[in-house]
Amino acid sequence: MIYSILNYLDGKGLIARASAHCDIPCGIYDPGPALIAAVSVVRLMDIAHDGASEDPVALANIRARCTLRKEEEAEKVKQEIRIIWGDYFKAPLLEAHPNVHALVHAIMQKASACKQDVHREDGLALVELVNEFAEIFWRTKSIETTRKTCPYPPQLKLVYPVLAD
Amino acid sequence: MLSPGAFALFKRSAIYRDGDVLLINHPRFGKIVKRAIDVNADSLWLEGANANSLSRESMGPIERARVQGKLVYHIDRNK
Repeated sequence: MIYSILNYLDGKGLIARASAHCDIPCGIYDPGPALIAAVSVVRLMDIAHDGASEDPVALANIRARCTLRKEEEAEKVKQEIRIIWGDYFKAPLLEAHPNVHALVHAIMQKASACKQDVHREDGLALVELVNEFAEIFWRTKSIETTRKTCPYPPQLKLVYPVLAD
Repeated sequence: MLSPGAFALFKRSAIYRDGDVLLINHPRFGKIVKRAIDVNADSLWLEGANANSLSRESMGPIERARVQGKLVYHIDRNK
């Protein structure tokens, strides 16, 4: 009875609405940006090590820019992965893929190592970890993946979804 | 816990505590109903009762000014 009265008033627009079971409004998740950022970290390390300029000031400028951008790209990896892990992976997916927590933690650690130093092997390890994350992500959507060499330097093998259309 | 289509009555309060179910004017998600956790003088965090709810990290810390009231009564559809 009370519910019916309230329902009538609601139909007249007299009661404000709120969501108790909301999800992300857009629902768009994709590990692609994280992979591109991880590859960028390796590329920036390569440029920093290159020493292409004879001019010490120009070289310092190049390395300063690379360091700054490497910091930003590594942080972007962390941010993109955190969003997918925190918002997309819900209880049933976590039960099906229990190693995701450890994998995400490893990505956080490796991305930080990439920020702290310029060891290329750290960059390569970061790309591999994000590749593994991407494979799990697409598996949750029953979408096959393939590893192909990205068509730009440093031309590393990246995980791409095999889409039907 | 609130069922879909439930009517809920919220009351403004000077004091909110951990565990209170609050009506929030969220900067990203609009008007949402979530449980308060880690309430302090200036802000609080939120969590959903449902396993599929948004994570507390995605909802972020909420300023106290965004709290519009706490749940005092609700009527579910089957009543």
